[in-house]
Amino acid sequence: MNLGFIFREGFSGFSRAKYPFVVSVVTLAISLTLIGVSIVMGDNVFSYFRNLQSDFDVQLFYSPNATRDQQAAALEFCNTYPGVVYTRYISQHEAIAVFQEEFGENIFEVLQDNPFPASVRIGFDRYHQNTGYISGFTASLEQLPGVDTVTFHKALFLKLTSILRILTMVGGIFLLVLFIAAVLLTSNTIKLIILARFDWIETMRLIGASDFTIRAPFLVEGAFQGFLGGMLAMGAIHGIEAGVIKLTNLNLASRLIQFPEVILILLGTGIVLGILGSYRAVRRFIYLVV
Amino acid sequence: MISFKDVSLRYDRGAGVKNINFQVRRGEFVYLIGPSGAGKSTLLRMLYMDIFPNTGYVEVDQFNSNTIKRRQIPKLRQKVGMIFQDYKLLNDRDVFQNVALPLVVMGASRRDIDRRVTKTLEEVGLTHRKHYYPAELSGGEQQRVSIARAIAKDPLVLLADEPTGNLDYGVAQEILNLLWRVNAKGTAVFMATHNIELIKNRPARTFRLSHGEFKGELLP
Repeated sequence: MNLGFIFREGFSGFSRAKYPFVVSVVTLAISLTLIGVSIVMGDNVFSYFRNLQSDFDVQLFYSPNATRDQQAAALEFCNTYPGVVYTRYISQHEAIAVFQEEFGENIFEVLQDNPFPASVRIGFDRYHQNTGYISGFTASLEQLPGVDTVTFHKALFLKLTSILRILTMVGGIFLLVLFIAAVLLTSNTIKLIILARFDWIETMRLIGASDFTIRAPFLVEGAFQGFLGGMLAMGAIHGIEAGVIKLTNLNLASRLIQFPEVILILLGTGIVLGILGSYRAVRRFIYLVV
Repeated sequence: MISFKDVSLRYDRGAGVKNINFQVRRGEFVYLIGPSGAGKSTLLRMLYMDIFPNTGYVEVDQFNSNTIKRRQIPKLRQKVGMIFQDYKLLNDRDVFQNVALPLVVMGASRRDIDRRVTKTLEEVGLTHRKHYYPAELSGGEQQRVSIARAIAKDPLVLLADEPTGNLDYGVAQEILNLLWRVNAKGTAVFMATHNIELIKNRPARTFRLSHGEFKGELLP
């Protein structure tokens, strides 16, 4: 079977059945816009919680009588611990400044003494931000000489972790449901194209065309429609993003334009949706003809 | 080449054919006559294996209705030409493209397609109409295109289901003459018709069918 024939027939779908072709492309574009907006929205919500989670760093407080060597050793321990992305040493003097910045009072002037110990704030990368790992780290840190206490907002961190897990799961299920709905919707509109080309299918079967030769042009046409639907959906998502930013002054953490994976995902999903929709429609209808 | 052996088929709505037995040899011309609803189209559909008998079997060349696999049916149809009362041409393609379609499907080269379509259009007398669309042709011309499409692939047998049903008597005679010319070149022709008047002047082996039953054979 020559591929030229299959591609010619596939790409000529528009001229042979204009109305169903346009309906299919618009249906695909709407489905893909929903999927794309969900991805971008989901990613923004996810980023927000992820940033919130990264704010919960570990804080080490030195004993008031810790020596410089003990402080340096503890800091070195933190810096070389796998997963630690930053450490920030806060001297006793700096702690007073931080307090004054946050509460507006100079505690040294009030108490005539500095009650704050020197401390270190320690942040972990996203791959090591789990309570088991961080608890192990704090336990090791507390054993070091010169270390008084190590704080870590475990309960809040756990809550955020579970929120993120639920968001991932719900988002995944939502996208899957959207995808299945899009396949069903697309295959129903593609049936219009197949109905419009009933004569072509009948003739092809009578002259001895194989099932593949009859189906393949519809799959090519579906892929082409999916590609066009993907392009339209990208335009629509850009418009929606621009509208949302203009209306709300929101600073979206991820936008389609800064997120090339979404462009590829949309076009790829469009093509896959078009092919699946066509396959489902043609598989059922082809046997109704001769 | 064609054989029906104890073939019976009953549709859900009741009609069908009963206990059909006959054979058609390579290169033969055979008429199948009977009134509307006698089962002529049913027998033809069994020949291109669109439907299958409940009992018995149909054989066309090496293909047997009891053993053929679904994927082999296109191979059978590439060896069988078919023409119908309603022509079944594609209206969005011109005469040349309609006739070329089976050859394209069979994977023939562009050169071979050009050569065979040109030759076939000459045979059916439509060379001057090769860039016309079906809607621009008369009924007789459309049936000629349909015949050209069926014989371009050089089939073993040409199945004709009431090929003159939509045509007036003179044009119908021309189509019948054309079918005889196709037969003269070695292609068997199996023609179903209820128009006995038409075939009187072109006698051939004739099977009579009535109410789904074989009512005998007339020899020329």
